Amino acid sequence: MIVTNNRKVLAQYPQAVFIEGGFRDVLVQVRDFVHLGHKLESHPLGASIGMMHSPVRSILISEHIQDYDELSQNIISQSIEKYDITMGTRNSKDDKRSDYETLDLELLDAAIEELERLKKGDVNALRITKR
Amino acid sequence: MRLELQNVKIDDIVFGDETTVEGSQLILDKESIITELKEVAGVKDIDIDIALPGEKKRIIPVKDVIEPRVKVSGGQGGFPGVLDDIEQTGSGEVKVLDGVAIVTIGDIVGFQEGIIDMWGEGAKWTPFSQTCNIVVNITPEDDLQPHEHEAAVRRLGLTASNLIGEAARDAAHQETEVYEMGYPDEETQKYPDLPKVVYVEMLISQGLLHDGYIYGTNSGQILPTYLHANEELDQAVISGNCVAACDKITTYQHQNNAVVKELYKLHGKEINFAGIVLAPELTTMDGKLINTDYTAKLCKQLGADGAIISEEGYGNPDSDLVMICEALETDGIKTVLITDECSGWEGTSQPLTDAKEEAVAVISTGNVSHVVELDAADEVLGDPHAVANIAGGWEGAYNEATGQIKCELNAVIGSTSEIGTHNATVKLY
Repeated sequence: MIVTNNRKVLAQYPQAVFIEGGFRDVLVQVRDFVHLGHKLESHPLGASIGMMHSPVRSILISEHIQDYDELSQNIISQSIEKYDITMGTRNSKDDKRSDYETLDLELLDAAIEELERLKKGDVNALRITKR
Repeated sequence: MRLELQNVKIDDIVFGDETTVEGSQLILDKESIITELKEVAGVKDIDIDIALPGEKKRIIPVKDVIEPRVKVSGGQGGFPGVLDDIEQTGSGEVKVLDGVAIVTIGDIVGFQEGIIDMWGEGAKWTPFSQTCNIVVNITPEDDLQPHEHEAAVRRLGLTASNLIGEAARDAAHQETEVYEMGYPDEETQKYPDLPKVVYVEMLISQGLLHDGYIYGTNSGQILPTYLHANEELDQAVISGNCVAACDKITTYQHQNNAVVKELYKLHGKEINFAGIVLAPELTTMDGKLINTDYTAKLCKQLGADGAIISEEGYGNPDSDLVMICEALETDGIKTVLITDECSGWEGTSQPLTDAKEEAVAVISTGNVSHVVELDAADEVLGDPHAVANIAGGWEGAYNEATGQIKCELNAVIGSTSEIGTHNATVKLY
């Protein structure tokens, strides 16, 4: 399941859970899903400070509710804390929104490919289909 | 495996009619080089400038830095699997234009790469203020897809390195570095009582602008792999990532990996250096779990007593770093971690996004959030406005009236390199 605030992602993956809001709102929504028993499939944060300043973010979580996952809970909590510390009072870089949307979509595609490979091509495990 | 790096010391670069070395001066035939580089697919236009240490020049936005070299015996050389035919690297004699760096600049999607200042406060923070830089400014063809654009810029830098490295072929070298080491069983026979130490080098491997390449293979497509230390020093590993200037490992830093060189110095004396495990930093949790297990297994199979683990990037790779540490320590392998810190402007915030109690021996390579103020340059190669879109910069970071820049170290290339190929150091108080 994709949780995103990126319209380019929504256009490609219409079944995504779309959040009206910023990067932090996506993190908070993912945290709520993890509390319900969804598991993180991709890490909530990017691999650099550059991606932390993105106005958009897409995160993969398990489709179905499972047993409460402590690792997912720890990682999403620490990610929200780190996001707040890193951003401080600064705003995300909205003037480059379109570029960030493209990059976020590209990185999501790569993450889905990675998962397909690791889950032996069982795309149904994630029920993610691209338009 | 024996690799001989023959250093042709260069302290000046000028443009001339032929690309050659005279004494300690590198002469570049600019027009011929531009003509050849324009042949690289996806490239519309090229410009070349020179930036020397001490000059009041600013280079921005930098994408990659590469040391120009040519292999003169023991193989064809170049970048096998990327530009050149497949062959194993790590053996033979290589002439190095020591003191020279190819610096590629030009816009990439969205945000950009870092800053190199050749003088003053900025020079203090980047190792590439001390190299004589050949700055290659790239304009890609119109309407390239982001992946094609990134590939064109990456390949052009490596092509320039091969092309200009040729100038060293017949030049006299003043210094020789020899890296010679057998395979682990041979070295263990020689040094049965020394602890075996493996270097686990993590590479960002997450997709567009977030990739590393090993013999041209995208590291995101493989499980952790094992390299002889010489292979990395001889161009088997290159950078394809372009997001955080301070701690991306440029191709130059792979070619001159300070951890590899330091472990080599200790080999046979204090430790038995058992080679490099390259560990991709994937983005999915399953990817992180399998790579953690696989890295631990490789270290175990190599009989490691200890491991040095270096990170690349910041954010989700912090999880890989401490997960690998935990797995190795659980297997009885002692670890030392190398990472930078994102500790806020005051340097007081928690530095990493993840932590484990096993991570007790940790070397910091600096605080990426540290703020620096850079004076106006006499000449800017590239575009100073790009600082607004560099990680560590912001709208208004460049003062157009004064020419000054205020930014975090995040924006300064190689300033907090997590493999230690940089200037910052740690003091205990």
